[in-house]
Amino acid sequence: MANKVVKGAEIARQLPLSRRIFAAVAEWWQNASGYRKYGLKREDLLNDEIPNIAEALRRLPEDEYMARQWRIKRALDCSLKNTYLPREEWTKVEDDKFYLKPYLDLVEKEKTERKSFDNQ
Amino acid sequence: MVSTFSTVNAIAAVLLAENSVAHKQANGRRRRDSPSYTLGKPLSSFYEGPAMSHLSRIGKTCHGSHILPRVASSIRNSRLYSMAAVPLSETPKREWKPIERKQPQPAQITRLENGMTVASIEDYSSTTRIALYVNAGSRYERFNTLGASHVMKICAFLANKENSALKITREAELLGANLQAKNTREHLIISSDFLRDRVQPVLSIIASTVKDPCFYRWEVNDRKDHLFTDLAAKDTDIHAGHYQCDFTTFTPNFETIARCVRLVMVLILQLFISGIMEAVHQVAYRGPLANSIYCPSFRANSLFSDVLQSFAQECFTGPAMTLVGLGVNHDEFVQIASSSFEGISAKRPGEKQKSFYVGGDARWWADSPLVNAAVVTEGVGLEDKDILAAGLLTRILGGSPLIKYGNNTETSRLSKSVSEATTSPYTVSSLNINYSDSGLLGSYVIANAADIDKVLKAIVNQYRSVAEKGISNDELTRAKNQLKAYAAMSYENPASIMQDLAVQAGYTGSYKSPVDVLNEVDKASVEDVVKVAKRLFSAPLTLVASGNIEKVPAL
Repeated sequence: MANKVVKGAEIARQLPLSRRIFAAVAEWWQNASGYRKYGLKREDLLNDEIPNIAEALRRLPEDEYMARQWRIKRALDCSLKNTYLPREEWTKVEDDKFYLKPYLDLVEKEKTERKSFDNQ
Repeated sequence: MVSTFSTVNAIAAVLLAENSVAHKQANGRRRRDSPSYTLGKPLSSFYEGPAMSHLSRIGKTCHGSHILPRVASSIRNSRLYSMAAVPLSETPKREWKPIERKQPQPAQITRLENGMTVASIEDYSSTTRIALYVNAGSRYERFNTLGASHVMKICAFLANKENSALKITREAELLGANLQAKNTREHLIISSDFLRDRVQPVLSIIASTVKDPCFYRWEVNDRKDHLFTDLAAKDTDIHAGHYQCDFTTFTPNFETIARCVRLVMVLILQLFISGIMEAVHQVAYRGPLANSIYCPSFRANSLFSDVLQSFAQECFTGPAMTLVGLGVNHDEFVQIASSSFEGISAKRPGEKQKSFYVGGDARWWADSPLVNAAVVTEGVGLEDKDILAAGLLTRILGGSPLIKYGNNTETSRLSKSVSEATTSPYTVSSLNINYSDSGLLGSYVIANAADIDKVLKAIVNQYRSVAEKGISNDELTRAKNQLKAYAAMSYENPASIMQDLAVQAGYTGSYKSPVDVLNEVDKASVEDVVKVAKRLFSAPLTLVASGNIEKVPAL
């Protein structure tokens, strides 16, 4: 673990300064936008009425889909009560992953493909 | 609807003829404006001139009603392109030449580096047919992959790493090719028919489906409806009940319209046979041949992509595949195949599990006054030297009528003995199924439940009498003629040539041409047939019956 941290730091030091600054700002912005305080992940904020996203959600494995629904319900509950979750339940930076992206990419790829075939 | 349309067509044809005459005679100016025929131009544009008056004339004089003018207006408003494309000027003169037919080349077989067998016959036809036979039928399923072969058939053209499902469909459409997937107990068969010059793209589509299939969970789930439809179709009791209703209400007196009944029985036969034959395999065999070709219902909801993926990895290897082509140049075909199927593993499949014939008895109630039954014994496998003698034995026992509505009591031993055993309508036909290592030979019968004991005894007695008392020379000659005619007829059909080629090339690596087969049939003697009958009918029989089984006897 320690080894990994050292390695990570090494890589970060090698990055250009501008990108390092940008990453830091992004990190700050994500924290400041507040969804992590509700225990949400970034892709929980996507609107599931948009067709592509609805399709990607349909393709999510059952457990991941349920976990998403649960996080959203918990966040709604907090929002109604005008509170945040206790600090230890906030989404950690390393947990805030793109779980929907692979599916969404695939859906978008298929849509583009269909369009290209339809325009032939 | 159809008749209305054909009326419209006929009227329009008359009109067009009239119209062209009118153009020729009077309407020169108009003719110069429009070409002699126009494709894609609405028909209504031709109906401004004298033709309309003609139409109203027909309407008044011939029929005296207002129907025709209304039809005319519907023609005017519709866009009947094909009629619009009829040349209005004189028909072009054609010279008919006889088509030159080249002699088909003999079959050629090549083994690729990855172990795949490529076999093809060049018959100089304008279409090419190719089929990929993969040893991935239901007999290759194990407990955890049970039903995978059936689901694989349904999911054959879903996304893989190269193509999406949409791309496969659309490309096939653009190429004018059709894609089919079938599963049997031995093989998963992916086949396609298309025009000669399109071997490369079609073969690359077919290769992609077995190279890296993805079996995305959502796509497989979306196809589950097809699976349930197949399973419902297999559920013969439902069909029997459904057809039985028509049957009993429509035919109060069985004997008077026995001929009609026989036709209906053929229908029932087709619906019943899958359920009965599944049971026959289950009872007759221990080992993988007992596996159903249908996905078991307890697996229908739990077969997910990982199971399919592991089945595919196990079965989709070079040595397990045979690619056959009809109407292709062999060298070209081999070259295209080796480039398209590059990257398929050359891993030899494990030792093939043996099936053992045990025989036995299974029967179940179904809502029907009839009994569907199969009485079979172990037949011969494809590599058995007695395979032609067994074919002759089947013909001697007798198949379904060769003449429509014929009773077949002259040429079929089974029909004759059953007709003596019962006065009610029946249908009986011998069956001969060959797998790579074993087979089934016997008969399938539908008869009235009241006489079924006599019918089944008559059938079994026939089996015994062939084995014990032998057969006459006349019978053998007739059987030979029937078998030769059947063989020659099936070689007329490209699909059966393909199957024959695939099976022979896949199992033996060589191909016996139709002529050789016919010659070998001629060589068979009475002793050969009696010997094979003795051997086969000494094994314990398998009896499977469904319907009103009150009087079905014990074996």
